[in-house]
Amino acid sequence: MSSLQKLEVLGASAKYDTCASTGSHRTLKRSAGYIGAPVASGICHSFLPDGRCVTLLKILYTNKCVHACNYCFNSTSCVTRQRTSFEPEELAHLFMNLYLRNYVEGLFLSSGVCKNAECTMESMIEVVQRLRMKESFEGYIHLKILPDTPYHLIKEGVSYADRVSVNCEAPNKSRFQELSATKDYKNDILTRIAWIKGLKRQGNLPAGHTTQFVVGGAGESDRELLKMSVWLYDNMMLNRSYYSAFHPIQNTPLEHAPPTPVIREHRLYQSDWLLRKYDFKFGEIELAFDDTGNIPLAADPKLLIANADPQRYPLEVNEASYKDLVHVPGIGPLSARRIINLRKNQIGIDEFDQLKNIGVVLKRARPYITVSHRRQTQLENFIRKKDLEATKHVLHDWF
Amino acid sequence: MEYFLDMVQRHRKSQRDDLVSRVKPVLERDPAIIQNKMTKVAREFYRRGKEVMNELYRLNAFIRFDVYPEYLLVSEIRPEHNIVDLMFYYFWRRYPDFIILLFDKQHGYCSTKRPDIQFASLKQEKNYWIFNRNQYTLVEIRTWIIPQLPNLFDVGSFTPTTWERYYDSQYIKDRKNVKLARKALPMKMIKKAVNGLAYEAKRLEEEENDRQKNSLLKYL
Repeated sequence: MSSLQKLEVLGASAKYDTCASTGSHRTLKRSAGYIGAPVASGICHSFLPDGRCVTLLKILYTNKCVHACNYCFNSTSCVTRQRTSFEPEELAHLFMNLYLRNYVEGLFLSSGVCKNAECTMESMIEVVQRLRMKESFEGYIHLKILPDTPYHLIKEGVSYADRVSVNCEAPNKSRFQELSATKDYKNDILTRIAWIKGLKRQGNLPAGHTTQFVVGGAGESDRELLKMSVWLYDNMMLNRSYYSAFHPIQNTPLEHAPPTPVIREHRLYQSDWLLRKYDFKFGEIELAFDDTGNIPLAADPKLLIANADPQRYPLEVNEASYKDLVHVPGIGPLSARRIINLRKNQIGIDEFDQLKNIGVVLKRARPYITVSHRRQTQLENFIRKKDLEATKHVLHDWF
Repeated sequence: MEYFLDMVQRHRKSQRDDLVSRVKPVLERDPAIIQNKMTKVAREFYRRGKEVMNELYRLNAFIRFDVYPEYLLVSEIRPEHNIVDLMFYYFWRRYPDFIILLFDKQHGYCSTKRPDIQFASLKQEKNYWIFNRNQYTLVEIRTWIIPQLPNLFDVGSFTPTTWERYYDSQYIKDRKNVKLARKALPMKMIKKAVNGLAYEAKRLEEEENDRQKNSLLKYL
């Protein structure tokens, strides 16, 4: 198989993996004699017709795999799939060609488990080692750690990569068993994440470590997924969780299972964002769950949380704390900071329009706030009132 | 704020009106009014700054280089604002051993971090050399570089097909969302990046036509 064919096959095999170049704060030690540089914020080099961005060369080292995961594109049960592997030199050369022409921002290297994890991980490390040592590549590398990888290889991989990740796939052991019978959740996944945490503590991994969940593959609820994410954030120094909506793949045991709606993935990201960026507690997120432990697909979780706690509102924007402001739908951390900043400079908010100018989404925020103790009538009431007035006027003319 | 002010000054409209001179005294007297976008002028100030930053960010990402053995990376751009020198700062960090040559409609801009490369016959400005496109050809520029280099770069074999095949391999058809893709890759940006997004533009158009055809079939 030619390099181009391999690129096509192994690129397609990696397309369900989620990653983002969220930036590495690594400083360059050299001033010349290298290619590539990490950037502090992600750069999207292209966009696909499905709306997703192409930032990194997302590719597998091999799609040969000894595991039989029920949902996976590269599972052993998928007999029709073309199987192939790169040579380390071949992949490094291909990547450098794309990087030099500014097609990609870095490398995301994952793999199926060929023979065993140790053997495959060694080859993957050979690729990144080659890039760092021989090609003098200083850009961004995200290396996937395979389940059951020995500690010394994780340590070596971590020394070359900006970010590593181990895929959890499911929120707990019982759900995991429904997805994969050949891997052990505690030993193969969680132990590896704990090792990575230890290595991160020693000052490695400038872009941290992440994980990914398959959403809806094992019938798990949003509560289970978010609970696990919170546990990983609090105890494993995880930078972020990725959620990938389950999509049935032909010739896998779950090929007839219903696909997960993409909106569920979106709702999980919204809730995860509230946890990581808005400092919401898991207890607050729980207010958004329905009886089945899922976030209703039709509504924004922040709106649900606000509506579940009505006695908290309306808030006076000129008096509310930052923490209270970020809880208001339509006010994000940036707008909240701006309001506080103005207050510190003895500039009060007098009009609703001023809030709009500083970035507040008034349409959403209006029912939950007052400005100078004035509350603007809700839009629905406003329209109804206007209609009544118009009717009165017409009736008066008639009689 | 100084960086942002610099960005606003680079906006094409800022060369013609007095927005920056109107904002500067307010920034010194009461920066919170500008920083928190309290007035119409402050909002316009922010809008321009963001527009320039957006163009810089996207052009840095969307242009594609042709690689030559003279450690030369060549691309074509159509920026709306005065950002060429900022692009060079970005690519210097990324490709410190290379010479970056950018062409717009009328000019060529050449820049490198390498101290051993000089273009004596070209006019120097900020961090680049500038020349008229009609005055010198790419072949001439290349011949100037060769004697200044200790060795040549091994370009290897690469065709745009490599990227095209990879790009297609990443597309998940079940998640098709051309509207979202168009939002991220507007026509205006595709034109600014000249050939950088040619394949993406073609594929998006195909998918759009496909969508229209399908909706028409559904209707019938």
